[in-house]
Amino acid sequence: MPTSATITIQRRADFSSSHYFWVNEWSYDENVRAFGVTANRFGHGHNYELIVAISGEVDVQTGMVMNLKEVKSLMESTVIHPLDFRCLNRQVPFFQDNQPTLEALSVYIYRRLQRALAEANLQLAWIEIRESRELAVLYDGTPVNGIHEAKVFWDSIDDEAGYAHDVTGTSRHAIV
Amino acid sequence: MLLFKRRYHFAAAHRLHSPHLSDAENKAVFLQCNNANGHGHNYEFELYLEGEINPQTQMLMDLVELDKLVETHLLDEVDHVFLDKDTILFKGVITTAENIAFVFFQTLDAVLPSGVDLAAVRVYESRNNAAIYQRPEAKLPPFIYQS
Repeated sequence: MPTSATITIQRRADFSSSHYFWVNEWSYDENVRAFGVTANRFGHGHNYELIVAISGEVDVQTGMVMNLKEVKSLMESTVIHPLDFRCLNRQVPFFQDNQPTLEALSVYIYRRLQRALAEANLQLAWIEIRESRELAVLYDGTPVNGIHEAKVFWDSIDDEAGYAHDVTGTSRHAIV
Repeated sequence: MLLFKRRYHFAAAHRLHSPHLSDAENKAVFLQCNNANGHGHNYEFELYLEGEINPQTQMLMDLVELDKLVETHLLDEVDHVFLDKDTILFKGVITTAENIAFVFFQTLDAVLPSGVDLAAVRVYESRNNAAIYQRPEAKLPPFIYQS
Protein backbone atom coordinates (compact mmCIF):
# COMPACT_ATOMS: atom_id res chain seq x y z
CA MET A 1 0.00 0.00 0.00
CA PRO A 2 1.60 3.27 -1.10
CA THR A 3 1.32 5.21 2.09
CA SER A 4 4.16 7.71 1.86
CA ALA A 5 5.30 7.54 -1.74
CA THR A 6 6.29 10.79 -3.42
CA ILE A 7 4.57 10.98 -6.77
CA THR A 8 4.61 13.59 -9.50
CA ILE A 9 1.28 14.25 -11.16
CA GLN A 10 0.96 16.14 -14.38
CA ARG A 11 -1.96 17.93 -15.96
CA ARG A 12 -2.33 19.46 -19.39
CA ALA A 13 -4.21 22.60 -20.42
CA ASP A 14 -4.56 24.69 -23.56
CA PHE A 15 -4.49 28.41 -24.08
CA SER A 16 -4.50 30.58 -27.19
CA SER A 17 -2.62 33.84 -27.32
CA SER A 18 -1.10 36.20 -29.82
CA HIS A 19 2.34 37.78 -29.71
CA TYR A 20 5.05 39.41 -31.80
CA PHE A 21 8.72 40.19 -31.33
CA TRP A 22 9.94 43.74 -31.30
CA VAL A 23 12.87 45.48 -29.60
CA ASN A 24 11.95 49.14 -29.07
CA GLU A 25 15.56 50.32 -29.29
CA TRP A 26 15.96 48.85 -32.76
CA SER A 27 14.86 50.29 -36.09
CA TYR A 28 12.13 48.70 -38.17
CA ASP A 29 14.75 47.13 -40.44
CA GLU A 30 16.75 45.75 -37.54
CA ASN A 31 13.64 44.18 -36.01
CA VAL A 32 12.57 42.62 -39.28
CA ARG A 33 16.08 41.33 -39.89
CA ALA A 34 16.16 39.70 -36.44
CA PHE A 35 12.59 38.43 -36.14
CA GLY A 36 11.33 38.12 -39.70
CA VAL A 37 7.56 37.64 -40.01
CA THR A 38 7.22 37.45 -36.23
CA ALA A 39 8.04 41.19 -36.04
CA ASN A 40 4.65 42.07 -37.53
CA ARG A 41 3.17 44.18 -34.74
CA PHE A 42 -0.39 43.16 -35.47
CA GLY A 43 0.79 39.92 -33.92
CA HIS A 44 0.21 36.29 -34.75
CA GLY A 45 -1.20 33.48 -32.64
CA HIS A 46 -0.53 30.04 -31.25
CA ASN A 47 -2.51 27.30 -29.57
CA TYR A 48 -0.22 26.78 -26.62
CA GLU A 49 -0.19 23.61 -24.57
CA LEU A 50 0.84 23.74 -20.93
CA ILE A 51 1.83 20.72 -18.86
CA VAL A 52 2.22 21.24 -15.14
CA ALA A 53 3.92 18.67 -12.87
CA ILE A 54 3.32 18.75 -9.13
CA SER A 55 5.18 16.61 -6.59
CA GLY A 56 3.96 15.50 -3.21
CA GLU A 57 3.09 12.67 -0.91
CA VAL A 58 0.06 10.58 -1.74
CA ASP A 59 -2.78 11.24 0.71
CA VAL A 60 -3.66 7.90 2.30
CA GLN A 61 -7.36 8.71 2.48
CA THR A 62 -7.81 9.77 -1.12
CA GLY A 63 -4.87 8.13 -2.92
CA MET A 64 -4.11 11.51 -4.49
CA VAL A 65 -1.29 14.04 -4.43
CA MET A 66 -3.78 16.80 -5.21
CA ASN A 67 -7.36 16.58 -6.38
CA LEU A 68 -7.31 17.03 -10.17
CA LYS A 69 -10.36 19.26 -9.94
CA GLU A 70 -8.32 21.64 -7.78
CA VAL A 71 -5.27 21.39 -10.05
CA LYS A 72 -7.49 22.35 -12.97
CA SER A 73 -9.08 25.35 -11.27
CA LEU A 74 -5.75 26.52 -9.90
CA MET A 75 -4.18 26.40 -13.37
CA GLU A 76 -7.23 28.13 -14.79
CA SER A 77 -7.25 31.04 -12.35
CA THR A 78 -3.48 31.47 -11.98
CA VAL A 79 -2.19 31.25 -15.54
CA ILE A 80 -4.80 30.32 -18.15
CA HIS A 81 -7.17 33.21 -17.43
CA PRO A 82 -4.49 35.94 -17.65
CA LEU A 83 -3.15 34.56 -20.96
CA ASP A 84 -5.98 32.89 -22.87
CA PHE A 85 -7.34 34.91 -25.83
CA ARG A 86 -5.06 37.83 -25.14
CA CYS A 87 -2.22 39.55 -26.88
CA LEU A 88 0.77 38.86 -24.66
CA ASN A 89 2.68 42.00 -25.69
CA ARG A 90 -0.20 44.39 -25.14
CA GLN A 91 -2.23 42.86 -22.36
CA VAL A 92 0.14 41.09 -19.97
CA PRO A 93 2.27 43.60 -18.01
CA PHE A 94 5.11 41.06 -17.57
CA PHE A 95 5.77 41.37 -21.30
CA GLN A 96 6.30 45.11 -21.08
CA ASP A 97 9.72 44.11 -19.68
CA ASN A 98 10.25 40.84 -21.56
CA GLN A 99 9.88 39.47 -25.06
CA PRO A 100 6.96 37.02 -25.26
CA THR A 101 9.24 34.05 -25.95
CA LEU A 102 8.58 30.58 -24.59
CA GLU A 103 11.56 31.16 -22.30
CA ALA A 104 10.06 34.26 -20.68
CA LEU A 105 6.56 32.78 -20.70
CA SER A 106 7.81 29.73 -18.82
CA VAL A 107 9.26 31.91 -16.05
CA TYR A 108 5.99 33.85 -15.80
CA ILE A 109 3.87 30.68 -15.61
CA TYR A 110 6.23 28.83 -13.28
CA ARG A 111 6.47 31.63 -10.70
CA ARG A 112 2.71 32.19 -10.56
CA LEU A 113 1.95 28.48 -10.16
CA GLN A 114 4.80 28.04 -7.67
CA ARG A 115 3.35 30.67 -5.35
CA ALA A 116 -0.20 29.34 -5.58
CA LEU A 117 0.94 25.76 -4.89
CA ALA A 118 3.20 26.74 -2.00
CA GLU A 119 0.09 28.04 -0.24
CA ALA A 120 -1.28 24.47 -0.51
CA ASN A 121 2.05 22.99 0.70
CA LEU A 122 2.72 21.44 -2.70
CA GLN A 123 5.82 21.60 -4.83
CA LEU A 124 5.83 22.56 -8.48
CA ALA A 125 8.26 20.09 -10.09
CA TRP A 126 8.46 21.40 -13.64
CA ILE A 127 6.39 22.77 -16.47
CA GLU A 128 6.43 22.25 -20.21
CA ILE A 129 5.01 24.78 -22.67
CA ARG A 130 4.53 23.82 -26.28
CA GLU A 131 4.09 26.59 -28.80
CA SER A 132 3.67 24.20 -31.72
CA ARG A 133 4.39 20.57 -32.49
CA GLU A 134 7.98 21.48 -33.19
CA LEU A 135 8.79 23.82 -30.31
CA ALA A 136 8.62 23.53 -26.54
CA VAL A 137 10.37 24.65 -23.37
CA LEU A 138 10.81 22.67 -20.15
CA TYR A 139 11.47 24.65 -17.00
CA ASP A 140 12.15 23.61 -13.39
CA GLY A 141 12.22 27.02 -11.73
CA THR A 142 15.97 27.60 -11.48
CA PRO A 143 16.81 31.29 -11.94
CA VAL A 144 17.21 32.40 -15.55
CA ASN A 145 19.48 35.33 -16.36
CA GLY A 146 17.98 38.09 -18.45
CA ILE A 147 14.32 37.54 -17.60
CA HIS A 148 12.82 40.43 -15.63
CA GLU A 149 10.51 39.04 -12.97
CA ALA A 150 9.29 42.32 -11.42
CA LYS A 151 5.83 42.17 -13.02
CA VAL A 152 5.15 38.43 -12.71
CA PHE A 153 2.24 39.03 -10.34
CA TRP A 154 0.80 42.13 -11.96
CA ASP A 155 -2.73 41.59 -13.12
CA SER A 156 -3.57 41.83 -16.77
CA ILE A 157 -4.14 45.32 -18.03
CA ASP A 158 -7.55 46.32 -19.27
CA ASP A 159 -8.64 44.39 -22.36
CA GLU A 160 -9.77 47.51 -24.24
CA ALA A 161 -6.73 49.59 -23.33
CA GLY A 162 -4.46 46.96 -24.78
CA TYR A 163 -5.63 47.71 -28.27
CA ALA A 164 -5.14 51.46 -27.94
CA HIS A 165 -1.52 51.16 -29.09
CA ASP A 166 -0.88 52.65 -32.48
CA VAL A 167 0.28 49.98 -34.88
CA THR A 168 0.02 52.10 -38.02
CA GLY A 169 2.81 51.38 -40.42
CA THR A 170 4.10 48.30 -38.66
CA SER A 171 2.67 45.63 -40.90
CA ARG A 172 4.65 44.22 -43.78
CA HIS A 173 1.41 44.59 -45.73
CA ALA A 174 -0.18 47.81 -46.83
CA ILE A 175 -2.13 49.53 -44.07
CA VAL A 176 -5.81 49.97 -44.84
CA MET B 1 23.07 8.88 -18.27
CA LEU B 2 21.18 6.68 -20.68
CA LEU B 3 17.51 5.92 -20.18
CA PHE B 4 15.54 3.36 -22.13
CA LYS B 5 11.86 4.21 -22.60
CA ARG B 6 9.04 1.87 -23.61
CA ARG B 7 5.33 2.65 -23.89
CA TYR B 8 2.36 0.30 -23.35
CA HIS B 9 -1.39 0.72 -23.26
CA PHE B 10 -4.42 -1.01 -21.80
CA ALA B 11 -8.12 -0.36 -21.39
CA ALA B 12 -9.77 -0.74 -18.00
CA ALA B 13 -12.65 0.37 -15.82
CA HIS B 14 -12.22 1.75 -12.33
CA ARG B 15 -13.94 3.66 -9.58
CA LEU B 16 -12.43 6.08 -7.08
CA HIS B 17 -13.82 5.26 -3.68
CA SER B 18 -12.02 5.48 -0.34
CA PRO B 19 -12.92 3.14 2.51
CA HIS B 20 -11.70 5.88 4.87
CA LEU B 21 -14.48 8.24 3.77
CA SER B 22 -18.27 8.17 4.02
CA ASP B 23 -20.39 7.82 0.89
CA ALA B 24 -21.17 11.52 0.94
CA GLU B 25 -17.49 12.42 1.43
CA ASN B 26 -16.48 10.11 -1.41
CA LYS B 27 -18.97 11.82 -3.69
CA ALA B 28 -17.67 15.24 -2.68
CA VAL B 29 -14.00 14.37 -3.20
CA PHE B 30 -14.11 12.16 -6.28
CA LEU B 31 -17.20 13.60 -8.00
CA GLN B 32 -18.09 11.68 -11.18
CA CYS B 33 -15.14 9.31 -10.62
CA ASN B 34 -17.07 7.92 -7.64
CA ASN B 35 -19.96 6.60 -9.79
CA ALA B 36 -20.75 3.20 -8.28
CA ASN B 37 -20.81 1.45 -11.64
CA GLY B 38 -17.37 2.66 -12.59
CA HIS B 39 -16.07 4.29 -15.75
CA GLY B 40 -13.19 3.54 -18.09
CA HIS B 41 -10.00 4.87 -19.60
CA ASN B 42 -7.56 4.06 -22.34
CA TYR B 43 -4.54 4.05 -20.09
CA GLU B 44 -1.01 4.42 -21.38
CA PHE B 45 2.14 3.94 -19.38
CA GLU B 46 5.84 4.46 -19.94
CA LEU B 47 8.70 2.59 -18.36
CA TYR B 48 12.10 4.23 -18.00
CA LEU B 49 14.93 1.74 -17.56
CA GLU B 50 18.58 2.22 -16.73
CA GLY B 51 21.49 -0.16 -16.25
CA GLU B 52 24.41 -1.85 -17.93
CA ILE B 53 24.50 -2.20 -21.71
CA ASN B 54 25.19 -5.80 -22.74
CA PRO B 55 28.48 -5.58 -24.70
CA GLN B 56 27.47 -8.31 -27.16
CA THR B 57 23.92 -7.26 -28.01
CA GLN B 58 24.55 -3.61 -27.14
CA MET B 59 21.10 -3.54 -25.60
CA LEU B 60 20.05 -2.55 -22.12
CA MET B 61 17.51 -5.32 -22.18
CA ASP B 62 15.97 -7.65 -24.75
CA LEU B 63 12.70 -5.98 -25.76
CA VAL B 64 10.93 -9.31 -26.25
CA GLU B 65 11.85 -10.31 -22.74
CA LEU B 66 10.70 -6.95 -21.35
CA ASP B 67 7.40 -7.15 -23.22
CA LYS B 68 6.82 -10.65 -21.89
CA LEU B 69 7.43 -9.54 -18.29
CA VAL B 70 5.12 -6.55 -18.70
CA GLU B 71 2.46 -8.70 -20.29
CA THR B 72 2.59 -11.40 -17.62
CA HIS B 73 2.84 -9.21 -14.55
CA LEU B 74 0.93 -6.09 -15.60
CA LEU B 75 -1.07 -6.23 -18.83
CA ASP B 76 -2.67 -9.63 -18.23
CA GLU B 77 -3.77 -8.31 -14.85
CA VAL B 78 -5.15 -4.94 -15.91
CA ASP B 79 -6.21 -5.04 -19.56
CA HIS B 80 -10.00 -5.13 -20.02
CA VAL B 81 -10.79 -5.57 -16.34
CA PHE B 82 -12.36 -3.53 -13.56
CA LEU B 83 -9.22 -2.48 -11.68
CA ASP B 84 -10.86 -2.30 -8.26
CA LYS B 85 -12.48 -5.72 -8.49
CA ASP B 86 -10.76 -7.99 -10.99
CA THR B 87 -7.10 -7.92 -10.03
CA ILE B 88 -5.12 -8.59 -6.88
CA LEU B 89 -2.80 -5.70 -7.78
CA PHE B 90 -5.11 -3.05 -6.36
CA LYS B 91 -6.57 -4.88 -3.39
CA GLY B 92 -7.03 -2.20 -0.73
CA VAL B 93 -5.60 0.47 -3.03
CA ILE B 94 -7.59 3.38 -4.47
CA THR B 95 -7.04 3.27 -8.21
CA THR B 96 -5.83 6.83 -8.77
CA ALA B 97 -3.13 7.34 -11.40
CA GLU B 98 -0.74 8.05 -8.51
CA ASN B 99 -1.33 4.63 -6.98
CA ILE B 100 -1.30 2.80 -10.30
CA ALA B 101 2.14 4.28 -11.06
CA PHE B 102 3.41 3.19 -7.65
CA VAL B 103 1.96 -0.33 -7.86
CA PHE B 104 3.25 -0.83 -11.42
CA PHE B 105 6.71 0.29 -10.32
CA GLN B 106 6.84 -2.09 -7.35
CA THR B 107 5.43 -5.01 -9.34
CA LEU B 108 7.81 -4.70 -12.25
CA ASP B 109 10.84 -3.74 -10.18
CA ALA B 110 10.53 -7.07 -8.36
CA VAL B 111 10.76 -9.15 -11.55
CA LEU B 112 13.24 -7.29 -13.77
CA PRO B 113 16.53 -9.16 -14.32
CA SER B 114 19.59 -8.07 -12.36
CA GLY B 115 21.55 -5.29 -14.05
CA VAL B 116 18.37 -3.58 -15.23
CA ASP B 117 16.79 -0.97 -12.96
CA LEU B 118 13.44 0.67 -13.27
CA ALA B 119 14.09 4.42 -13.01
CA ALA B 120 10.51 5.65 -13.32
CA VAL B 121 6.99 4.74 -14.37
CA ARG B 122 4.56 7.24 -15.82
CA VAL B 123 0.86 6.35 -16.11
CA TYR B 124 -1.40 8.40 -18.38
CA GLU B 125 -5.06 8.23 -17.45
CA SER B 126 -5.99 10.50 -20.34
CA ARG B 127 -4.32 12.99 -22.62
CA ASN B 128 -4.71 15.54 -19.87
CA ASN B 129 -3.31 13.90 -16.79
CA ALA B 130 -0.66 11.48 -15.67
CA ALA B 131 1.31 10.42 -12.60
CA ILE B 132 4.98 9.57 -12.29
CA TYR B 133 6.68 7.49 -9.65
CA GLN B 134 10.47 7.41 -9.76
CA ARG B 135 13.02 5.50 -7.77
CA PRO B 136 13.70 7.87 -4.87
CA GLU B 137 17.48 7.81 -5.30
CA ALA B 138 17.33 8.17 -9.09
CA LYS B 139 18.69 11.53 -10.24
CA LEU B 140 16.84 11.80 -13.50
CA PRO B 141 17.36 14.56 -16.03
CA PRO B 142 14.25 16.70 -16.53
CA PHE B 143 14.01 15.75 -20.20
CA ILE B 144 12.60 12.34 -19.28
CA TYR B 145 9.34 14.10 -18.67
CA GLN B 146 8.95 15.34 -22.19
CA SER B 147 6.33 13.18 -23.81
